[in-house]
Amino acid sequence: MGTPTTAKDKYLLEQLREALLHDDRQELAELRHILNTRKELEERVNPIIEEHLLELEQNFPDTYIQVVQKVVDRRLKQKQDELINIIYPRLGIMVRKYISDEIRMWMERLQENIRRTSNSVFWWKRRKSAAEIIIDSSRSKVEEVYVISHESGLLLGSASSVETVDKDMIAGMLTAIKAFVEDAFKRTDEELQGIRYGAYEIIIHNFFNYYIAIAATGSISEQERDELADKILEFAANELNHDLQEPDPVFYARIRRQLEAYFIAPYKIEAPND
Amino acid sequence: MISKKVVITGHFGVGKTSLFNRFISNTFNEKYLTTIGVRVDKKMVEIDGQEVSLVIWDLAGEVSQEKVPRSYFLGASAVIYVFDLSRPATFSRLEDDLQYIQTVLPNVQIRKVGNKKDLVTNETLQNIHQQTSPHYFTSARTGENVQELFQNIARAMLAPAPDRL
Repeated sequence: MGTPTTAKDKYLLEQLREALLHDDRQELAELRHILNTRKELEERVNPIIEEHLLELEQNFPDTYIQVVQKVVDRRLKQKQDELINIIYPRLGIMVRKYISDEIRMWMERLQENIRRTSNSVFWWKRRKSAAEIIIDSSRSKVEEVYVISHESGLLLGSASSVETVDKDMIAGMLTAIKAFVEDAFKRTDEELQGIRYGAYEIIIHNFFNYYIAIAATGSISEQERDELADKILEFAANELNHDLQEPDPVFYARIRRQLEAYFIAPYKIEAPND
Repeated sequence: MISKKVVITGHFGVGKTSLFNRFISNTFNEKYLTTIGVRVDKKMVEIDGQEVSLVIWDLAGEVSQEKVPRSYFLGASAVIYVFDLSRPATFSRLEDDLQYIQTVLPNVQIRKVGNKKDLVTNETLQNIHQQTSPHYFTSARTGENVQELFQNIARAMLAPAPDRL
């Protein structure tokens, strides 16, 4: 059969097509209608999707749990330091909070007992002990603060209210002294927590792969020591909660600013006005 | 700016502290002075316009586990192992000492340095070179190769990852 050339041939061909393809064309039109009408399509597709979702929900643990576990394990291994740096100070805060709550409750019970058994007027008048008054008169002052890498002794950040010798050198020597003391006494699970000489004290708080050393002068009361420890934990939780292996210049600048804000500025003593 | 820890170690009297002093302050102390424990100092080195801060730990005496706290080595990017070219006893245990260092710091780069070059003949240098394959022969007394040694370490720290210390 050649190509229809006349109008009559074309008409006849169309008649033939219509006779042969009538049902198929009707079916195609219906399918087009379904595909182009969202509601129609949803009615047919949604049950299938829901069926698959249900199946996935029911079988997900069996099918994918191993894959998920592998991904999580790998991610945890890669970011182990970062994770520990996040958890370490948070745990410290929780432990401290628990202990301080317990002590507070114990103190309240004790005070209540004292109040009951003693002359109430005498205790009310006294309010502060002699020791507390002396401590108040010799307020402590944070002079320097350092964040130092545990292993290398490299300085991660510092702030100071006084001029000192090179801070990198101090960080290195402090780490060496710390390592020496810890090694000499062979207490692998214990860490040096402070050095005291005269009215000067270095308070050390150890974290997973860094430690914070605070040099302070004056008599540090137990309350101040507690406040300082809280502040150190807060600082660590907020500012050092990520991987510290390869810090960049932005990190160093931020840490210095934050150390100043957390530890140095609050302890600055205003010069008296003439 | 990059900060890196460099440890100088080696046997007693090989000139570790003299190398340290020569590099840090460009001086040589004629008087023999044994370091007690460790001394830490730092020096900025400029490589192609970029500064590297070398925080140097000068460890006293021996390399061995019993004499020096293992933790002194930790976190170091480079270790300079110094021996005395005029005293063979100071490099007789070289391989054992290097093995110990590599156990503590598996990925650290080590520079073997024969010091007191000014005290030995060229023939002795050649013999020792065959035995120990050092990276540098130095003289803390004259300053020969001291700056070059530390420059080399600083340059390695700025190198791309595979070659980096």
